[in-house]
Amino acid sequence: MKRTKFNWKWMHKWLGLPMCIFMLLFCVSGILLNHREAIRSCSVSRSFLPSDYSIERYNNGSIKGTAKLGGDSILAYGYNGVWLSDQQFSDFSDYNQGLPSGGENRNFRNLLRSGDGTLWSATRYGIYKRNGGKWTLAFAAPSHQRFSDITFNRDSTQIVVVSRSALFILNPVNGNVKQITLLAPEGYENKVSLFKTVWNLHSGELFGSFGRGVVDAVGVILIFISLTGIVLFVMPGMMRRKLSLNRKRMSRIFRWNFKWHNRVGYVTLVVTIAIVATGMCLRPPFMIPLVMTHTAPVPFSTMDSKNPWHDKLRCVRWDNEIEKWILSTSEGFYETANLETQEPRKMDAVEVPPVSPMGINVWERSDSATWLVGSFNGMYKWNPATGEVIDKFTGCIPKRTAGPPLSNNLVAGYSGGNVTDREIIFDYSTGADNLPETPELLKKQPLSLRNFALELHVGRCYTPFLGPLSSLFVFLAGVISLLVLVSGWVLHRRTARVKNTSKQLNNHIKLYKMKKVKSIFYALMLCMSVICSVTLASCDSKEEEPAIPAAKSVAGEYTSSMTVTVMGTESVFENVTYTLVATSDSKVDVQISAFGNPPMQVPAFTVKDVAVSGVDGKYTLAETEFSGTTEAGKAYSGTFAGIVSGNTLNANMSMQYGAMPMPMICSFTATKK
Amino acid sequence: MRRSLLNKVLLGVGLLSSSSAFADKSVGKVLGDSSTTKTKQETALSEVVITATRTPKSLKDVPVVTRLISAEEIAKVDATNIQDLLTEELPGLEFGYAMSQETSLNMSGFGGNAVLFLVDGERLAGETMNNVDYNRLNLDDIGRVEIVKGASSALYGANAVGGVVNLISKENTEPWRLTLNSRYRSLGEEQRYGGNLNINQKGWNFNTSGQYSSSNTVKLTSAFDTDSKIHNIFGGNSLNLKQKVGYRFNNGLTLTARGGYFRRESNRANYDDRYIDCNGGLRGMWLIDDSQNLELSYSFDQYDKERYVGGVRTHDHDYRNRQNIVHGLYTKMFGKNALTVGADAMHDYLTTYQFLNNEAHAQTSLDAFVQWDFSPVRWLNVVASVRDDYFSESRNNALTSRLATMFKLPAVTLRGSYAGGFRAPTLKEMYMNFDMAGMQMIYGNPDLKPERSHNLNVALERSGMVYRRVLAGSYSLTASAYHNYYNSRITTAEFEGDADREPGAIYTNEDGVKAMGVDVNMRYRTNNGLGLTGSYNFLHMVGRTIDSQFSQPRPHSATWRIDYTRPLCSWYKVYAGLSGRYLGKPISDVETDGAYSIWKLTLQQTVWRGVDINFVVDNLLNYKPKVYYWNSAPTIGRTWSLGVSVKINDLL
Repeated sequence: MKRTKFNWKWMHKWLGLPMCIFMLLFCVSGILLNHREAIRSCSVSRSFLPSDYSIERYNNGSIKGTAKLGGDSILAYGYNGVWLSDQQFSDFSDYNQGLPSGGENRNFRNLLRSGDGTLWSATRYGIYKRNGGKWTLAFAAPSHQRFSDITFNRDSTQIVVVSRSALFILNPVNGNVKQITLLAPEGYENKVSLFKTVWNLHSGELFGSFGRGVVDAVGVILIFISLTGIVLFVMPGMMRRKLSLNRKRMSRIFRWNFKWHNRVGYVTLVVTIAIVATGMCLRPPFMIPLVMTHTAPVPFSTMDSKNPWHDKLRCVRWDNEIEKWILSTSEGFYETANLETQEPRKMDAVEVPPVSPMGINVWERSDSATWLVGSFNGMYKWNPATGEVIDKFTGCIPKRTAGPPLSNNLVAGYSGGNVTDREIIFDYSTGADNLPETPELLKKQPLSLRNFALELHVGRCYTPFLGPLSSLFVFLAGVISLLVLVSGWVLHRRTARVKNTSKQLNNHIKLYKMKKVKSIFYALMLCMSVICSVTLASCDSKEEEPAIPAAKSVAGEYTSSMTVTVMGTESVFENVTYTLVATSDSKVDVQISAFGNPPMQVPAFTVKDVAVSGVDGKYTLAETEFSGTTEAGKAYSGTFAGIVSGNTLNANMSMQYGAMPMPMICSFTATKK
Repeated sequence: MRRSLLNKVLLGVGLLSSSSAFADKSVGKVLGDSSTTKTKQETALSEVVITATRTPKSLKDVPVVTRLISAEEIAKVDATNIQDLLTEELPGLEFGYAMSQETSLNMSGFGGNAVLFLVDGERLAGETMNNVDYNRLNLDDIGRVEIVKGASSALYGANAVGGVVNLISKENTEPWRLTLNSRYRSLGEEQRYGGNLNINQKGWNFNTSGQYSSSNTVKLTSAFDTDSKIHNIFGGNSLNLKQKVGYRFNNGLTLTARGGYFRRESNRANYDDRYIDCNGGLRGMWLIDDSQNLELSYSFDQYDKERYVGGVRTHDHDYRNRQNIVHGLYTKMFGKNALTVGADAMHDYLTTYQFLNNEAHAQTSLDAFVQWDFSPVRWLNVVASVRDDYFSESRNNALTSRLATMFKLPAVTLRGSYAGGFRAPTLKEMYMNFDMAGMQMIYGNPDLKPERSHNLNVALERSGMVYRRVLAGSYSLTASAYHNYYNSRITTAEFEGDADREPGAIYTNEDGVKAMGVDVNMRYRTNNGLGLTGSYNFLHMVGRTIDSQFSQPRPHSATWRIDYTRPLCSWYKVYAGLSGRYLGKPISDVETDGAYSIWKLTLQQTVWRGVDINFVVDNLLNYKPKVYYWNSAPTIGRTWSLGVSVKINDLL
């Protein structure tokens, strides 16, 4: 039986041609997505986009929330900015004065109105204060961070700002900002989902700017291969039909394209396949097992962060009923009584509302004990004290079943009955019912270039053509791309083996040259990897925390017993006095009286320059290393730290005295005299 | 003829090793390796080892199970000191810290003072905790490490109760060789710089090596952590210099002189401790004729400890240990059989702050031994040895013996051995009078008896080739079972005090302990560069085990490595290895560490002629102990190191 030979050439040519078009779109949109901050002020008019992207009935995230302004006036905010309207939504006018233009710049996350009527808003890249008829920047997002929420603290005197990796306290009076070091949650294990790892690998973000640069370069390479591929497809026909008189020139162009299409495609095959394969893993069906698998972060990558909340935080609220902060994160809900001093505890998954991985969109008070929590996974009434969760639409207890994290109700926004004349829920796709016609002002709002690139990259914009298959678009495109790449490699290997190269166009491509190019490529990759590793590892993500003047508040004399632990054995020494002497607004000297018994008798000594920060009766004495020599000539050294809450000092000290090899770990609690 | 034979010995065994240089036929003829067609895969088993019998034998012909760590394996681990190397290569061996951050060792249930560390067969002066200062054992110029578990006192005298670790220097035969290396490690921001120059010229051999390393203090856990016993690993720096000069005469005589200087500073919280060692030696090896060899050597080693506060020496922690050793070794061949006769004399001087008023004590020890290596038929080898030691200060006499046999069967090699071991009480154990940080007095006891041990060992070894296409390669499998009975163990016991002394602890002899277990080692390497290595140790102890707060026996432990090495082009070669070790939960009455495993990823690249770049990610899975006990892994999680090594002569 004659064995039919597989036609690789046919496959490469006829699968490759349509794929080139999509590949160009993938690459351009991918490069744009890799530079989110650079394009944040760029937008695309919705008139160029399919009708699904036009704003009708306040859909597509145009309204995320509302806030009462006074009288009948309200403010409505969403992905494109903030608008002045009334309780009936009958009229809309621009309220974005002072904000930078561009969709991403005006992407509102939350809006607050303080007791004195001042408006505060959180956009992706800045916290703004309404001042003199316009918004003024109060706190710009730190480098490589984006804001996701703001809220008031428990007594509404300060504003808690949430970025995706950290919390900040913004003092509305003086505008001072202090970062909160949120403790690692109980039972914390440094693990991330494999999906996130592959995502970062695909974008190159795993290795920071260097990684993104490499992926950009691969994008450019794929664009080059696609363009030369199109030329190779089109030119023979043009030459046959004598569309050009200069055949010699045409031939030269063809040869050049052929040579470099092959050479670049062959040398970069591994990385192009890697980009395609990792991209395929980020959409169904491969994404599902990756989302469910958690692994340790890749060493020395950007995900290998010391911050346990790296890229996890979404929203935060204070709950008066349980007297705790509730944190909404990509890992679920956490609760803690104190953001700075107590480890957050993860709340039981069956006692919290289901939230889409895209994050929480609505988190408002329903009544004094109940929250309304909305996301693309529906909307729920939630009582954290009892753990009761009720579906807002059905009134039933939600079923906790495995499946796609999307419900029929893609809740994108909400307006409470206390702001508008009735309760309104905004669906991302279908918008809101029984509202006046969407004003032209909103309809004209463009789509941010970043969102446009994202829709293009993940294939959602092909929904009108592909219908339900659009969710498999990336997977199918990936399979075809892999077939094109592999068939190209097979063809190249096959033609390279042909000895009679005089009749073949690829006689320009000598194997030894290829090896040389390949070697140089790998050497470059290797060098860059080493440089990248060293650079990444030497980065220090520590950030200075501004100290708030408080030294005078904590200064005073504190006397009590002190527990000293040496090698696990505790001793208690009575009448030990810590005297805190303010040396400046933010620093104290801590004088510690003599304690202990021979041979561990320690004379009085002073820990100098301990930084004090905090407000409202809660102060932190920063961890401070000290050393010195006693009058008897014995050297001592150690570490001191403490907290002053009201008039009570809780101090910890680890001290090594003289030649004693083991430390004395001291614990001291006393009230100011 | 004689010259060529001598060259062969020097090549195989090493110019300065403790071997007898006579063994011109040692590898090929004298000691039974009749194999003349060595395949590449058999190379590992044909490596020459010396520790087990004090005469050079190929690994597969030695009747006592010997673990060999080759120069290649040392390079793979990229270890700076012997601790890193041994913990990665050997299961059942664990280093920990003691109260003043001295290093303590536990090997198969034996404490550090039962394991004898040698460099080229020579003992080392000085101690930290219960053995030598491991930082002295610079691996930069080490060619291989041989480990013999079980008693070897019949050959090496005191302290070889639990095993012998012998570091054999690297030997080069090229006209000249210059190697420079450096490494940065993120843990403690450790930096290491080293170099080695070797010149061979007209019978002369010059070898100079030096290494400097420094590190910062590593904070393991919060300073206020009251559960943890250890909070910091203190930083410091060390300098290690060695010089050797050898000359080969035409009449088969080789003379070698060596000198070394070591200085280490440990930066503690309130003071700096300095450790200084000066050593030197002279060795003569005379190949009398084809069947006789004589070796005479003299060795001097002085180890000092000093304490400085604010740069000023305090003299309250002065320590000096000085050893002068003379030894002789004569070997006579009778066909395939060998008779080895040797004698040693050592003068040991010690003054330390742990003695009353820093008084000095000295002890002379004399010994003589004889060994008969008998191979009546090709498949049988029997080695019997007897040794007698005398210690002047304790007036103790110790007679020990060893009998080891090996049967080479068609399918497997069977080894069985009995060895008697002993450890004489040290001067410190006899005369200590130390106030430990005001917490407790510790007293020595001049009436101590030597510790005794009896070791039985049975081992099966199988090695061979796999010929299936992709799997083609070689393998070896060794399984050994051992039983140690350890009597009159020297330890501390509660002391009620007397007219002159307040209560505290005193050194005394106790009843014995039995340690038995199984060692399994597997190695497999394919011809295309893939390698798998695994070792497992099971330990069971009966009686009062070594159960201090610093070190406890772990019943289960294992090490493993999967690696791949391949030259990608003429100038680029890559080695990638994933290795790990597992330590089971210790059996202990005190609160202690749990079970854990630590993984390591190594990427070594030869990027140009003689230029190697090593990138290592240690503790790959980011293991961190919840509580840092004395025997917990001293890790803060995942760390990395980057090293560069340049062989200048290859580069040029």
